[in-house]
Amino acid sequence: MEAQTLGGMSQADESRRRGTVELAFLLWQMTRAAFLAEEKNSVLGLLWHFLNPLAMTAVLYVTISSIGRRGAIDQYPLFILVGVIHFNFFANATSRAAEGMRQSRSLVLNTTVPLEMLVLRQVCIEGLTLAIELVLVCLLISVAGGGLGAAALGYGVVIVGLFMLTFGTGLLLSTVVVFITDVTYVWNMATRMLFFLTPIFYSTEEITSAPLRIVTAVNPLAGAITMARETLLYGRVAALWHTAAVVIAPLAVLALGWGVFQRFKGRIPDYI
Amino acid sequence: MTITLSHISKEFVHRGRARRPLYRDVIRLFGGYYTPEQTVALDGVTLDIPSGSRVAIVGANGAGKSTLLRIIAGILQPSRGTAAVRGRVACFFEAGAGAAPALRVYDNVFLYGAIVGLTRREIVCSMDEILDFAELREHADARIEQLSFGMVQRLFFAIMAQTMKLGKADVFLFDEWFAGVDLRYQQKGEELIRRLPLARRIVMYASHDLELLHRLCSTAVYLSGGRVRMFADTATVVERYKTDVQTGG
Repeated sequence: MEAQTLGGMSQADESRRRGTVELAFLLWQMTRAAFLAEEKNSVLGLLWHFLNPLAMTAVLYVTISSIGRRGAIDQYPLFILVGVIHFNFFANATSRAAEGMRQSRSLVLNTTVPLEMLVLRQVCIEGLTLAIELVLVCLLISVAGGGLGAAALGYGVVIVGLFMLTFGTGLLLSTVVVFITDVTYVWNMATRMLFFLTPIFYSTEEITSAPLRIVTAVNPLAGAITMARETLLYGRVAALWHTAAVVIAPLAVLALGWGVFQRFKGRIPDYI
Repeated sequence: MTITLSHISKEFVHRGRARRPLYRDVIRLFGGYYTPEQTVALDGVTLDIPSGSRVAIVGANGAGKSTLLRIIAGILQPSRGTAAVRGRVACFFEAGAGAAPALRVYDNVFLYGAIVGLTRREIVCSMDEILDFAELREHADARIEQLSFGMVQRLFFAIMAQTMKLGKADVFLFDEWFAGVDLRYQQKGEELIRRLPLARRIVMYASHDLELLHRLCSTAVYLSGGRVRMFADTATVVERYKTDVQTGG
């Protein structure tokens, strides 16, 4: 290996380079360690991954039903639950990723771990949580006699799209937060707003406001959640254009996040 | 395997170290007295280190020792100058950087092993050797947070030692790695570094322990104020450094 540094050029790219198997092993070890450490510091441990979305779903279901705005949505509690777990994955993973560099200061300044892995680790920790929650959802769908037929295979597209969207947003946020810390607060506010602008407890068909329709149409998270319900809950195959949209928009976000991260990552150790 | 540093300079902008709200900078800017505060950590460092060298880095606090090692490792980018490092770099700057204190010793061997570049197979095959070298076999199921500081240092030193034995890198960089371990274990670590075949490798060690550096390294770099004051055999460099400290030079 030859690493050449010319002024601002990156020797880091060379010294942090590892093989794919090595990277996968490193990612798994870092994700596993962070996940287990959080579990060990909690009294209820893994149970939280079931209780949290169930409690949120119950609150939303009771509130919406009691004010008579429930609409005619089939299997409404599961409809909410599917929306909640996917939204939580995106919101929690991006919030974690935003702090990814600053919380990993010791690794950034003292090791040659590729910096992208520190963001990816945060996404994967929430990915493990989503996987656990999906087991619960699938069990409940089976009990309720819902989908989970061959159409559920299309859910793989949702996972790929959601992962790209989350990782891309995480790369973007983790870079910006290193230089402008306040973005963490802005992002927390933005995700709260996004919760109401994403069809979690309502369906896209119910939206009558034109501006909200536009927001939903350009919100990649809305497309992913809608397709997750179609494939997992209702056992329907999503339209081709819908499937394409669930992947293409997140791919664009990932390309943007990756580009910004590569542009600024050499300066990150100086600023954290 | 060589390290060639040519006119390396590194400046840190203070904003990265001492954060403050943006409006304070705006007020200073409009007040006409805004100048970015910078610290010069390295100033025109030129070094050529051939393979087969064990090089000590000496100097007072803030002399630029850690910055120099981090530039060689590729962690920091120089503000100016050129650094050419041939060979894979393994750096040991903070024992257990990224370790999980709540997890078992056994889990941390996997975690830290992966961080320093060992594969799963290498860790599995080396587990007994690592635990034995760290003298922690009976503590394999204990959580890291239950161990003393010295025991933790021993564990991470043992993992690092395994990367050296397995030849996972060509350039090994250390920053005060024996701090916290007892004398007996320090001698064990020293012995390991001394026995490492140097034919194709470079070992660089920054420390304030001049006796240790004298025993470990044949050549030394003396840094002062971010500049190379001397690059010669360790005995001469250490003598010069001691004289400077005594005379306030």
